[in-house]
Amino acid sequence: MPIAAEPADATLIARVLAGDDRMAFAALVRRHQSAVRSLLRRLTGGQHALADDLAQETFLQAYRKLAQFRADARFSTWLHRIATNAWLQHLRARRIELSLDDVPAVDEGLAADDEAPRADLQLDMNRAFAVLSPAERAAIVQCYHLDMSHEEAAAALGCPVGTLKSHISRGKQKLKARLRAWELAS
Amino acid sequence: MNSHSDSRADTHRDDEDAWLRQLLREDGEQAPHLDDAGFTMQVLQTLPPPRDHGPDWIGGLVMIGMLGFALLFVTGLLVHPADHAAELAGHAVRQLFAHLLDFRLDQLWPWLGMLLALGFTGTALLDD
Repeated sequence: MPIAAEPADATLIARVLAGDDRMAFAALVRRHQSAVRSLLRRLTGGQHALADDLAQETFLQAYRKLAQFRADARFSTWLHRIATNAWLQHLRARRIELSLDDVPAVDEGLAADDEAPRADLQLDMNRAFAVLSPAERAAIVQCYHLDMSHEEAAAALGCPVGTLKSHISRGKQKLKARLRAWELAS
Repeated sequence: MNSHSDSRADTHRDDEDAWLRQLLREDGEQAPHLDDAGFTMQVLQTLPPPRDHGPDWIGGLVMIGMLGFALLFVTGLLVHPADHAAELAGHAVRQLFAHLLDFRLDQLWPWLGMLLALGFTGTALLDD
C-alpha cells in the first residue's frame, strides 16, 4: 500500500483554522516538537523537564495565535520565536534579568568536565552552553540558530543592539574557550 | 538573512570566529530527533475545549428567542389577565418600549432581572 504524502504545514494550519481540526494540530505538533524541544533544551541549559514545560506552553500559545500566523514566514521560525518568548517570560517571572551583570548559570557538572570525550559535538555544545548566562544563551541562539539579524534579536530580547552585541561577544568568548578542541580539529 | 557584520572590525572578528559559527550551524542542523513519547498527547490535553459550531449556536439562539417570547407572554398575563392571549405578548413588548421611552431607573430593574435570567438560561443551554 503506498504511503500518502504528509500534508504541508499550510494545509494543516488551514484545517485547524477552518474547523478547529484537532488531528491537524496534533500533526503539526508531532512534526515540530523535536525542533522546539531541542531549542528550549539549549536555551534552558539542558533542563529537560523545564524545556518540555515551555514547549507545551509554546504549542498552546501557537494554537491560540494561529490566526495571526502569516504564511510569508516559515511555521517553524514562527514557533521558534514563540518558544524563545516563552523562555524569556519564564525568566522574567523569576526575575532573572537579561542584563550584562547577570551571573552565569553554570552547572559545573555539565560544564567543566574536561576529561569527557570530545567526539560528540552535541554533548560538547551542551556543556559549553551551560556556562553561558541566560542573556548570552538567548543572544547566540537567536543570531546563530534562528538566523536573526542583530536588530531582530535585540527587539525580541527587548534590549538595545549594543547590549545584544555585548552578549554575543561575551558568549562567543566563553564558547571558544570551551570548544577550543573543535577549532583545532577543524 | 543575517546582518552580523555592520563594520570592518565586526567583519574581521567574524572571520576569526568562522570556525565557531560553522560549529554552531552544524550543531543546529545536527540536533537529534527527540521521540514524541506522549508529548503531542499532553499538548492536546492542554488545549481549550473545542469550539461550538454554527448549527448548535443557532439552535441555542432559537431557544433563547422562544424563552423570551414565553416570558413576555407570562408577563402580559400577569399585567392584564382579562386580555386575549394573542394580544398579551404584543402588549408586553409595547410596555417594554414605553418603559424605555419613559426611562426611569426604578422601572428598569424588573426588565433587567428578566434579561439576566434570559442570559443565564441561554448560557446554560449553550453549554449543554
